[in-house]
Amino acid sequence: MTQEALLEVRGLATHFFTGQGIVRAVDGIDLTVCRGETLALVGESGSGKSVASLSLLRLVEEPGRIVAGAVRFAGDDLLRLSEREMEAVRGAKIAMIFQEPMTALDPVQRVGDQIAEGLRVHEGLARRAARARAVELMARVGIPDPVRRARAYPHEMSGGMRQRVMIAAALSCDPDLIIADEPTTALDVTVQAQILSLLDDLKRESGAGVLLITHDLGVVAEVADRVSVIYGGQIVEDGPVEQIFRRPAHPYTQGLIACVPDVELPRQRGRALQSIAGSVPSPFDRPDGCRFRDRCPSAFARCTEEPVLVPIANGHSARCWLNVR
Amino acid sequence: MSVDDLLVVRGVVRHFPLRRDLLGRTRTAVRAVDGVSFSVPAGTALGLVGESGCGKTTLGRCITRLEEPDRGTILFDGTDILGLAKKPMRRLRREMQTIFQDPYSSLNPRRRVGDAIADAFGIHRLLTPAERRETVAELLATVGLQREHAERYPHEFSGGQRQRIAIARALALKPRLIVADEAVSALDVSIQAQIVNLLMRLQAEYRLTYVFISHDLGIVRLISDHLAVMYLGRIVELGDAERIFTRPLHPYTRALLAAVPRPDPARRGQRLTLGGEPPSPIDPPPGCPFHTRCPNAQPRCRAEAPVLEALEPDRQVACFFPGGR
Amino acid sequence: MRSMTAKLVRHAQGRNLALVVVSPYLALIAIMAVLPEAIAPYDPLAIDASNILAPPTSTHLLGTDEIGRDILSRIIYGARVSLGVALAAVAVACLLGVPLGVATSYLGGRLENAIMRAVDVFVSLPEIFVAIVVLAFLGGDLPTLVFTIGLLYFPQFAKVAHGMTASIRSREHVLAAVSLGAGPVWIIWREILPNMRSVIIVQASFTLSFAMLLEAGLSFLGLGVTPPQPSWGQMVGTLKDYLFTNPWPVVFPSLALFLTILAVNILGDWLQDRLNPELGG
Repeated sequence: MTQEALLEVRGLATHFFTGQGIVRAVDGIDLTVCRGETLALVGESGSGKSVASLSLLRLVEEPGRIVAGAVRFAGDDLLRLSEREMEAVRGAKIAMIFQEPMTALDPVQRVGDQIAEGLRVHEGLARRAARARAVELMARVGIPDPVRRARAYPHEMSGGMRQRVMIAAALSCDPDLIIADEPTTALDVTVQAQILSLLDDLKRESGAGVLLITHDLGVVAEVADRVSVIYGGQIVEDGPVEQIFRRPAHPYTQGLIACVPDVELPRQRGRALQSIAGSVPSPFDRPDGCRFRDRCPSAFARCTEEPVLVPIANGHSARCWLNVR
Repeated sequence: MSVDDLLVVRGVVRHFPLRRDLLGRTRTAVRAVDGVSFSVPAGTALGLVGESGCGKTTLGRCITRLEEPDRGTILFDGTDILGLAKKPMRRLRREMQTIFQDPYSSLNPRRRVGDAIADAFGIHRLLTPAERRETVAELLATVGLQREHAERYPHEFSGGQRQRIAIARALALKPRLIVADEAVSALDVSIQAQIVNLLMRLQAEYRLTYVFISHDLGIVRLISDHLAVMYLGRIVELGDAERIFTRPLHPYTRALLAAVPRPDPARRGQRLTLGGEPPSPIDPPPGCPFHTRCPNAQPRCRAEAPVLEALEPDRQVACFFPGGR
Repeated sequence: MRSMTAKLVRHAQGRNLALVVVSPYLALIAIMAVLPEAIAPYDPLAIDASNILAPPTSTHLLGTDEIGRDILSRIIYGARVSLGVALAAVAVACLLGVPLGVATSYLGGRLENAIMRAVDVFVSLPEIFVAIVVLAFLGGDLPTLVFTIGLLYFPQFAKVAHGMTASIRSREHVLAAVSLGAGPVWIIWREILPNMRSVIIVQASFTLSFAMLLEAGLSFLGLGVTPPQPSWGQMVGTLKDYLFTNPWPVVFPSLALFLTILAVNILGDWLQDRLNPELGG
C-alpha cells in the first residue's frame, strides 16, 4: 500500500493528573490513516481508545492533558495549532460520529437545522441554502422523506435514524477524516448492518479516511482495512485486517478473536468458550513491563521488561517478546 | 408441552397504557408482549432473541412476575403463578431468579456485597448469621470470587466481577429457573466469555433451567437448546435452536442471522441487509408485523396475521411463506 | 471509558476552596448555638445603661442596642434560636415529607395522584403569608414557630422523596430484591431509603437556609421569637428604627444572618457535588 497518509499520529500521550497520581490513559501511540482507508482502533473499556480519539481533536478535558506527541493532519501538527485554527479543523476537515446520537444531538433543535448549522459556520452558507443542502445530505444517508424529516426533533426519530442524522451532519462539510467512536454499538444488528454499509459507501464515494473506534471485532472484520489494537494505553498490534484475523501475533489479539463466539459454529454441549483470564487492569495499577502479562497465557520471564512494537511482516507489527526470538 | 416442562407460558399479553380517556380506558398502548406461548423443559436453556423494543425484556419480567401480564397463564412446575397471592408468590420467588443486564445498577451501591447476597436469607429468615457468612463465602467461591470480597462495596469491583456477584446472589436460594436478561451485553468482550462460561458451568452443575435473553446470536447459539425469535411483541419462530440456526425458516430469523457481523474479513460484503427498521409497537402494522420489511411479502401478509404453526417436529413458524417461497 | 474519565475528573476536584473558609465559620456558629455561655462576654439580657446604641468599642465589641444590651452577646445567644428553630423545622419537614413521599409512590393510582396534587397546592402557598396568618392566630411560641415552618417546607421533601422513590424502584437492584421475595417494607428500608439519603441531605441543607430566612422574617415582624430572648431577625427588626441615627447595631445581626445563609448554601452546593449519586459518591 503506497497511499498518501492523511493522519499521522506519532508518540501521542495523554495523561490525567489526578489526586491519586498520574494516569497514563494514552501512553505513546502511533496511528496512520490513509485517504480512502478505514483504520479500526480496537480496544476494551479503559484501554484508552476514546481518550485517544478525543486527543486527536484536542477535546480532552482537565485534568487530562496531552503531554507528548504529534498529530500530523493535512500538513499541520494539530497539537501546535491555535485554538482558533483548531476550531476550523473540527467539524469541517475532521468530523466526529459518536456512539449515542441522542446525547450528541441538541434535543430542542430540529435535526435539519443541526445539520445546516455546520454548513453555516464552516462554509458560510445562507440559511436557505444550508437547509436545502441539509435535506440533500439526509437523502444521501438514506433517510426516507428527508424534507419532512428535516423538521423533526431528535426524540421523534429512532436510534438508527438519529445515527444517520449524525452521519449527515458529519458529512456536511466534506471532511477529509471521519472519526467514528462506536458508531453502531447502540444499534440493533439489522440496523447496524445498514449503518456500516452506509459508512463504507460514503467513504468510497468521498475518498475520506475513517478512524473507527470499536470493541466489536465483527464490525472490524466487516469494514476495516487496517487494525490497531490498543491495550493499557499502548498499541499492542497493528496491521492489515486479513493479517490481524488470520495470523494475530499478540496473545491479547489472539484471545480477543477467540472470545467471540461464531454464530455459524454448531453448538457442542459442554464446550467452553475461550476467554482471557482476569480483568482489564485499572489505569491506576497496570503491571510494569508488558501490560498484558498478568492475563497472558504465554507470559515468560522476559515479559517484566517493557516490549516494543516490532515488525513481523509487511505492515504488521506486534508489541510482544514472543515475536523477538 | 410435556410433563418435564418447568415453565409453561400461554398467551401472555402485556400492554403498557400510554394514554387513557376520561373513563380510564386505555386509548393507546405499547403492545410490548402481544400473545406469547412457549414452554421450557427442566434443565434446558431457551434462547430468547430479538431486537430492542421487541418485548423480550418485558416477557422475561412477566415470566418471573416482576411485571404483571394483562392476560395469559404462566405455569411454573405446574403452579399457575399469576393466580398466587402475595405471600405464596414471595415464597415461590426463591425458585426463580433474574440476572440483569447492567451490573452497575443491579447491585445496591450502599450495601456491602456480602450483605447484598445474604439478603436472600434475611428476606426468608433462613440460616443463622454464622451460617449466612459461610454460605456467602461458598457462593462467592462458586462464582470465582474470594471470601474477603464480601466486605467490599460494589464500586470496588469491575463490571465482570459485579456480574459474578449478581450471579452469586441469584444462586443463593438455590433456584431452579434463571432468567438471564442480556446478562453479558454490558461487559467487555474478554470478560463476556468468562461469564458465559460460568453460566454454562453452573447450569450443568445445578441442573438449572435458563431463559437466556440476548441480542447476541453467537452467545445464544452457544447456550441454547431451544430458541424463540421475537418481533414486535410476538414469537415468529420457535423450536430447536440448532435447527433454527442451521436452517432458519422465518424471513426475519434469516435476516437477523445474516446481519451478524462475522469476524472474517474474507467474507466481507456478502451479507444481505434488511431494509428499514422495526415499526413502533404502539401502532403495529396490520397483518404480519414483519411485512413492512419482509423481502418476500405478499398481499396476504398485509391483510392477515400468521399464527405460530408447527411445520416440522419441534419447529413452529409464524409465516405464510416459510422458507422464502 | 466515559465513566472512567468522569471518575478521573472527580479525583482531581479535590478540595473545595470555599469550603475551607466556610466550615470553620459554620463550626463557630454551631459552638455559639450550643454553648453561648462559654463565649458570650455578657449576659444577653444585661442592660448597660451608660451605653445605649453605642458604636463598637473595646467594652462592647459590636456596640449596644437601644436599651444598652451587648450586641455581640445577643448575636451569640441568637444563634441558638436562629439555627435551632431552622434545624428543628427542617427535621419536622423531613420527617413528614419523606415518609409521605415514599409511601405515596407505593400507593400508586389515583390516590397517589391526588396526594401529590395536594402537595403541589402546598408548595404554591405564599409561605410568609401563611406563616403570618397561622402565627397571628396561634401565637408565636417556639414549638408553633417550628411546626409552622416545618409544615411549610415538608412538601419539598415529599416531592423529592416521591420522585426519588419512583426512580430508584425501577433500578435493577430493587427488582433483584423483589425477585428474592422481599416485601415493600424491606425494600423501602434497605434499597430505597439508603439510596436517597444523599439527595435528602442536600435538600435539607438548602431548606435550612430558607427556614432561617423565614424565621428571621417572622421574628423581624415580631411574630417569631418573643423578646427579650434574642434572635437575629428580631434584633434586626427592633434595631432597624435606629438605622439612620445609628447604623452600627443593625449591621452586625444582619451580617451574621447573611454570612450564615451564604455558608449553608455553599455547604449545600458542595454536598450536592460530593454526594451526587451519578458520580458514585
